[in-house]
Amino acid sequence: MRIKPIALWIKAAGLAGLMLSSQAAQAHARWLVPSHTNLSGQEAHGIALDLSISNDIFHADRSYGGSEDKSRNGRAKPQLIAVAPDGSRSAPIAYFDVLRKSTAGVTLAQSGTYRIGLEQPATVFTFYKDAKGERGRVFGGKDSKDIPAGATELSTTRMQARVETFVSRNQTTALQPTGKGLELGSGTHPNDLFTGETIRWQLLQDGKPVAEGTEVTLMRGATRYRNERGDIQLKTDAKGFIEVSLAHAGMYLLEAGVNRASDTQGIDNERASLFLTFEVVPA
Amino acid sequence: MKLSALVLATTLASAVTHAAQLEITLNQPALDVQPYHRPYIAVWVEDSERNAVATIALWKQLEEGDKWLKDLRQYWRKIGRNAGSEVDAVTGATRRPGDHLLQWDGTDSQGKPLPAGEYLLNIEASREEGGRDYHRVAFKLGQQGQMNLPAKVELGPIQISIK
Repeated sequence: MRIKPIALWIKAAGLAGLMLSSQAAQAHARWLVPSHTNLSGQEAHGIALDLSISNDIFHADRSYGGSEDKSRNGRAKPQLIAVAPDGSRSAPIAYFDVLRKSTAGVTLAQSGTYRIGLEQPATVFTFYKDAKGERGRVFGGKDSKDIPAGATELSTTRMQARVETFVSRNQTTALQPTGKGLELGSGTHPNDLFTGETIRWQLLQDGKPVAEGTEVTLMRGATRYRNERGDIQLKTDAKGFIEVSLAHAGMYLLEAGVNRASDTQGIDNERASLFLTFEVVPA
Repeated sequence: MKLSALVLATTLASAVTHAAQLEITLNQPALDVQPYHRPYIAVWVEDSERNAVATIALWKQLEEGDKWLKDLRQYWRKIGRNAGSEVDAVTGATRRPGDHLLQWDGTDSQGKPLPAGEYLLNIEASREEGGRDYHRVAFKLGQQGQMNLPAKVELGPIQISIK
């Protein structure tokens, strides 16, 4: 069970919730899974995507923008965008709610590596301690009407989640970091991953290598068929790199989160998280 | 049109061929399955750093283009993904089961002789509705030798002789 009781995780995070532990701030894993990560051939092909909000990795639980997607809080559905190898951005791609997941199709017309992901405005939460000493959180800033009277230790965090994957048609081309939020930088190409080979990835926070010791979790799909989830916990080195060799083929979800003090009035903490789906094939 | 270009390329290539440095007898087993799709098979050479230097053979369903070439995963990443016309001369249709003789003259994709030394021979097979097999073995170019690779499922026993 990944969701920790709020009281526990705020305590673990310390300092009145200003610095959130990397595991805690996201209630659920968010992901999208492509039907193919590599395509070959002269003709443009499409891929299918499954998108869901679920801690049971790659088993769907909640669709995006459906009635159970609590994170929306009345906002627009996230936009599904494909960034082509030449850097051009697609129009928002339609996706369909099929109760526990959303589905979409994307056509890859260019040769090279596409970045396909969900884009959504940042979410603002305010954490507090109520009059009885219980911790809680509400959507919105410190002026939110949902904060109980007499609450103290108010702390506001703006969260930006990046939910994405990479798919290559014919060539693999270098990733083009956006310079915003938490994302994959240089290193092993995410569409060239084989069992038993070293994967080395740099993570970037706002275009710069993340701090040393940033926690990164790798989760292999099909968790339902294993008694042990076998999540792999890694920490970045001084240059923001993780290094790992994976023994098992499969679709994996990389999850990480970083915080920094905000320079926006009314916001204390900026949190950026990354949910990156990648495929490892047998050597 | 495509076929005649292929025949011409093969003829030209054999006219300037150096003596065979590597002789491979590759067994493609007959499998008792219905339907049987002939496997895609690629045979190529990499240097000891795993950089591709030459393609010896690529058998695929010609009418399908490169659509399924990605399923020869190692071939695809090392050569297929970046290949231009240099593999045309060694590209052919998928074969019937049996023993197939392959020869390589020790030259790279431009026809230049490669220096003696250690190389990696790669043999990969992938069959629709079937499995995938992959061998990667080191050999010394310029040093006589004989290697036997045991049968897998999609690939039968393979004999390699280095001249």
